[in-house]
Amino acid sequence: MNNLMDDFSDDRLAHDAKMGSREAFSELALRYRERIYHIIFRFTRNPGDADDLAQETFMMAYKSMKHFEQKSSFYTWIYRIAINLTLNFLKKKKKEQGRGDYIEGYAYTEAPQSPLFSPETHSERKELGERMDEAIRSLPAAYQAAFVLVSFQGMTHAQAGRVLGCSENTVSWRMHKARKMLQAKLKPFVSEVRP
Amino acid sequence: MSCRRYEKWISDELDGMLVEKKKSALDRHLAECPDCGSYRERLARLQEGTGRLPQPGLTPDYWSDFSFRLEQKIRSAEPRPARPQPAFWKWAWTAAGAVLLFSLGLAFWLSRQSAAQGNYIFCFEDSIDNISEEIGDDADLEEVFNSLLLSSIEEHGGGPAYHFSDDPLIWESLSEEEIRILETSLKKDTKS
Repeated sequence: MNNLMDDFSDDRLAHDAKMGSREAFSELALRYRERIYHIIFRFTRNPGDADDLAQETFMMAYKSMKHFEQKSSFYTWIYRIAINLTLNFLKKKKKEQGRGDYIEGYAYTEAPQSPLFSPETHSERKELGERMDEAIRSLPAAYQAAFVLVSFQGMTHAQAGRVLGCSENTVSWRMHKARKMLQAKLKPFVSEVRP
Repeated sequence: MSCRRYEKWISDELDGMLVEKKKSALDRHLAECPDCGSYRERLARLQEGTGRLPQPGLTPDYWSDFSFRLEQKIRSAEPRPARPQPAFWKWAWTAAGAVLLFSLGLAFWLSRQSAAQGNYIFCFEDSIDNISEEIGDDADLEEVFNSLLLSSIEEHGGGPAYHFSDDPLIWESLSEEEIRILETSLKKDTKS
């Protein structure tokens, strides 16, 4: 059934799903499952939590389909659900336990090594990555959300603004502030590492 | 213009959001300001580093399982559709309900009617029979009862000044027993 829907646009699928088509919704879930999972993972850094939250995101979207007015794209709408659920989850989690304990116990997969860097600089880059991960997680939620959407998901300020429910200018300022905080925290790494 | 403003522009430029006019002004400033040049370089490295952050390695099997679990949840969340009922049965059930209601109402009304009537007849006859039985051959008791009955008739019939001739149909409302008692009483009065 899904093969027949391969050529359908998101808007068409969203419309059909709104009318009660489970197949149309499944096709949308198939299209966005990886992106939704990865953005949630970027916040939680825990595969189990990312899996649970991604499932919850799609379930909430399915149950709320009839309220989706299609004023924004399905992509923006489901991202907003994912971000809100994740930020709420992190708030609760932060209260329950210290963040230091929280990030332990999951395995990273190595990002592909850039041919531009020598093995020595690669290990330094890896350390920078880990520090950066930590620094990003220490950002206030609003800055973290803007930074993840723009820097990791490649969204424009306007797109991120629609997901976060704020203006393009606000995203621009949050990105500026987030970068200032990050570069201050990572100054030793971003100053020393040379390609 | 202060360097702080340019720092904001550097951030916008890294996101590809800086308009051409501002970009030219920024380039001119960077050529003159080593601090801003160094800041830009640090941010560029930071940006580059984000692309190298580790991602969880997820297999196609994981995604199949992800979709399967989601599908299961969606199915269980769907409301069960109500079984369609033919129009004939809807009307049949409505008619049966109405007939049952009417029958119950009628049965209740009839039982009320017969109970009320039965009680009245039973009470009247029963009381007279009981009194007659109680009196038996006791002449004194019969006399007391007769006087009580007469005073009752006088009371209900308009008092001592009441004359039977005022209402020629008074006899119609009296039972055989009452007439017999009255007759006895009148005979006694006539003798005395």
